[in-house]
Amino acid sequence: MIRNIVRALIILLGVVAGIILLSSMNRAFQSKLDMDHLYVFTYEGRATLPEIVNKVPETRITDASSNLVEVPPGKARQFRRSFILKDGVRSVMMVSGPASFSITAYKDAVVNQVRAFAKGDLGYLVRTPTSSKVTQHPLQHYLQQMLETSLTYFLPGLAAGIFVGYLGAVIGAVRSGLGRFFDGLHGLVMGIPDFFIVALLQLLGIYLVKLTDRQVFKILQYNEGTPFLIPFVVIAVFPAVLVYGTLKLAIQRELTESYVVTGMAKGLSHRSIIWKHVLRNTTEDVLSVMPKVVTVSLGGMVIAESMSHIVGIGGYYLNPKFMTVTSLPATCIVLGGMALIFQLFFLLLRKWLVVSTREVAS
Amino acid sequence: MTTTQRYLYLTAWSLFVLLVLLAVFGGWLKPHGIGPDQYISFEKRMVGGEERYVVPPYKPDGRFLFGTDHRGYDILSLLMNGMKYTLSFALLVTLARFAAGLPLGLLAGVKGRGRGALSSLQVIFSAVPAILFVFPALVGIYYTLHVDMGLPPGHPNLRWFAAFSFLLLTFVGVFHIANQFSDRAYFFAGKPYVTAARLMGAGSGRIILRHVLPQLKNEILFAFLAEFVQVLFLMGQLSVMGIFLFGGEIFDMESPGYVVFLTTSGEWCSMIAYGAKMMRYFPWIILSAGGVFTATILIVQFFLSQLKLQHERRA
Repeated sequence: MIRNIVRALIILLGVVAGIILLSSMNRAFQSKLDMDHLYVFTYEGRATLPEIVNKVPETRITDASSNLVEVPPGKARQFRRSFILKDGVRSVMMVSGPASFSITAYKDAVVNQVRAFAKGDLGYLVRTPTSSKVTQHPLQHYLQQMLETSLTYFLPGLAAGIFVGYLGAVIGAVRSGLGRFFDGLHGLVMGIPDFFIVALLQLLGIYLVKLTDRQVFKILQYNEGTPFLIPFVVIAVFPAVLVYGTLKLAIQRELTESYVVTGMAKGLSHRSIIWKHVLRNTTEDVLSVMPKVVTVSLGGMVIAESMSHIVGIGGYYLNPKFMTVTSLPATCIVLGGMALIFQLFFLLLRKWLVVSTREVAS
Repeated sequence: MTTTQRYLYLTAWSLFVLLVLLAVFGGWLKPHGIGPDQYISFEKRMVGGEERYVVPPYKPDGRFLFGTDHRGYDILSLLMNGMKYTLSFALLVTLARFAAGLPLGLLAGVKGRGRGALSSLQVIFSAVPAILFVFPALVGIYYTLHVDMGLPPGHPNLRWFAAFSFLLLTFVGVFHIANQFSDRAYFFAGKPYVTAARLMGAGSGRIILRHVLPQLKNEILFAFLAEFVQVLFLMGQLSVMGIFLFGGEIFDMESPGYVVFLTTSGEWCSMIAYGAKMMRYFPWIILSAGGVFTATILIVQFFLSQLKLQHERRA
């Protein structure tokens, strides 16, 4: 018991340490923007670099071979706009100095992150300004609402996915024709990435609006109302296919066992053998795959929230409401904690439901 | 083998070979160029029965089967050219994961030491989605190195970012491969013939090479293909979060200050990121890029399933 608790704590610390160590990596790199130069690329046959530079005052070519142009000191961003409006200009890029890597800077970043967490500083979210005022809020301001939003579809999605997968495997085992169809569907869905499912659902939503002239389901979060269907489906799909695949294999394995042959010889129907005998012996298989089910569902939730602009615990980072965020490590740790809580739940369920047949020395 | 089984097996091989050939030769086979000379600023087209000047992106038609992007570049040509970059990066990451994880796992399994540590590391890295480890690291470096601002091809920062992405994507997948093959090696290490070899003086290396690896070669192949698919999935997730490789160029839209990052090579993850942003107005971009990405994964998974079935039939 104590050994299991220690192992659980090590895993939790490992996840937290992994996220902190990896998310601090960017501080080890330093690369400054050169605000005195720009790269200006033109379309061949339409304009040459000297022609373009002549049209923009106060600029000159520094290196024609690399399309490097000098602008007044510190005004690269302003002059970028001037260049891009000129006919014949293909692209204008800021000049970034080569990056340098510093172990000391990385070490300091890790220490500062740990100290910040110890003080309760989980990072900030800076709202995109609607007027001239920029507002910044600590993560704690949003955390509860984000968790509530995410759990609104995560829990039903996960439960629905597990239920559909379980039911599909049982029906497929009882009715072989449907089983073959489900197998084909299983193979197909396993190959579709979660982002593509979100994209297809969003396009379906847009198409239905054009067809019916009303919103059938939300595809993006605007001011009020959170999309439910898209994250629900994405979260449910992969648990369903994982549970289906695992349970189907387990049922096929159990159907070759001698107790099944005995049952059939005694006159029991195929259906009653599956419902009354086989299923209880597949419980361990299903519960063993639950950690992977939770992991995959959480990954799907992150993608669905990001693409649907939902201010949830997984996808707020790319939300246009926020100009910049510094709370990403903290929310990744929260998501990691969620995953571990679910896995602990399924582990306890496994201990409760699965009878251990391991021999014990007398 | 029945006729249907043979047909499915041959179809799987044909599709897989086609995939490889397209990846290798796609850059030469593409129907249109994707260089600056292919840029279209506007064209006369029929819109609602009237002839009008229209700016790209253009919808799919007879000339551009998958439509165009904002520069007027053919999407199909971009995808055919970019296929080799995406698949070769995924292949390199998979190879690196196996190069690191397989020896680690086999040694731990045969020696019987370090399996607990590998198991714990595997649980840590698989307990949570890989994107939670990878995204915070990559997004910080992405902006620190100014990759988001568009860097010219060959810029040192692009190489730094590619190298770091490669190392990180490799690292998060090493331990579950090591753990998987540690268990398998431990199983075979307990066999009487391995015990006999050990008693005759065989070291761990010889036992792995002569006795364990031959038993695992099919399993390694199956695990390799499955891992390749997982790497593609992770790359796809990162792309919709705005993280992708191989640079590109900044394209200014008509609205002031609104820019879009466009790939110059057609690399699939950057096409997916671009398509995801433009989905509401130009859906053919995400449908094309996401569609070929999904088709590739399905072909590899179909090939893997047929290989496994063939292996079972032979056994």
